[in-house]
Amino acid sequence: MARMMLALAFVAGTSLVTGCASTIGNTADIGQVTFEVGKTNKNEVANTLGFPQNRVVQDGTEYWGYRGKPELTGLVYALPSGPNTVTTYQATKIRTEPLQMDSVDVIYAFDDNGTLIGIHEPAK
Amino acid sequence: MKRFFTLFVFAALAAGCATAPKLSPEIAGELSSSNVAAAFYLEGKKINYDEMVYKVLWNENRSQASVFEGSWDVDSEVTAEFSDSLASIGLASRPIFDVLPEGLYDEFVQTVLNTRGADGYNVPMSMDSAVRDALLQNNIDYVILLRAASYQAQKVTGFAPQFTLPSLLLVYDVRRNVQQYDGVFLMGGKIAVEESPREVEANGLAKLKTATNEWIHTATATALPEALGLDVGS
Repeated sequence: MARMMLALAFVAGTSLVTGCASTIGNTADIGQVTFEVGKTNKNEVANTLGFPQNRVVQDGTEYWGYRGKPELTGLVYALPSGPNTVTTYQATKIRTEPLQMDSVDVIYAFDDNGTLIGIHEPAK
Repeated sequence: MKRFFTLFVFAALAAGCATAPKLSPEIAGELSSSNVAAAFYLEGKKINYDEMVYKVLWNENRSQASVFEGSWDVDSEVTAEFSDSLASIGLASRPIFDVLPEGLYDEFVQTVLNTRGADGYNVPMSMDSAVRDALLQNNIDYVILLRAASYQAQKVTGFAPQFTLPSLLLVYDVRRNVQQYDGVFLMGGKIAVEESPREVEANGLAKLKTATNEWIHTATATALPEALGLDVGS
């Protein structure tokens, strides 16, 4: 019985800490997917990850930039402010400039036939 | 004083949000029996996702964009759909790219882009003279334009995502060379997904394309005649 209570407490504690996960991220983990340069095409990348967060076309090459996870843009939390009162606080980050390629985690480059010709991870 | 205040509050509640004035009955009648060019233009070829994620002790707001520019010729496809929708309510409509030579379509797009000023506010349309001449040569009397910003998807943990395509409806009188109407035109609704709103991107945006066509048809049959004051029953 004591073990059962301990397990329940562990599950409850874990869910309190984690809550729910975001559902608007890429449809696959960019660290777990494998694409083949010279073989994979744009449609296969889009069907695996979803469409990119940034797209640039330069000198006949198309670049797709992906972030690893959705951007955190705000937090809403409540703190006790008295014996019977709670105050809600909100912190919001507003993006004033469009997402640049240097702030993505992976860049895929395609030729004008839509074939993958390069993979670049700016942070590495 | 109290009675006046009550009346003011009631009037404000009854009025709701401000709406753009409809076309004059004369122009509305003329539009119904004129040749019309239909156009749809999406400024940002992307879906902006916003999600409120429940974290028990706090809530997180997260954002993600999906850019589909270059993978879906949304302007052409939706323009054709919009033209069909206008025809189904009785207007003599043709897609704008059917009445403009290829080189002039880019000029028309620039005309559309110029309807948003540098400060983001709307500017009355001023038609490029070459575009106007080509429209007149093809007996086009009016251009009905839907200028959309970008797709928006809102998701709250535990609830189905809501998709919207905020747009501006604009009517340009080609013969008089003047804009006759502009007003906010909202389209959108739910798109069935199992777990993630981003499922709408699968199979070349199949679900998003189907939903967009439905929104265009529904809004053209219901909201558009109401907004412009068209009598589509006659």
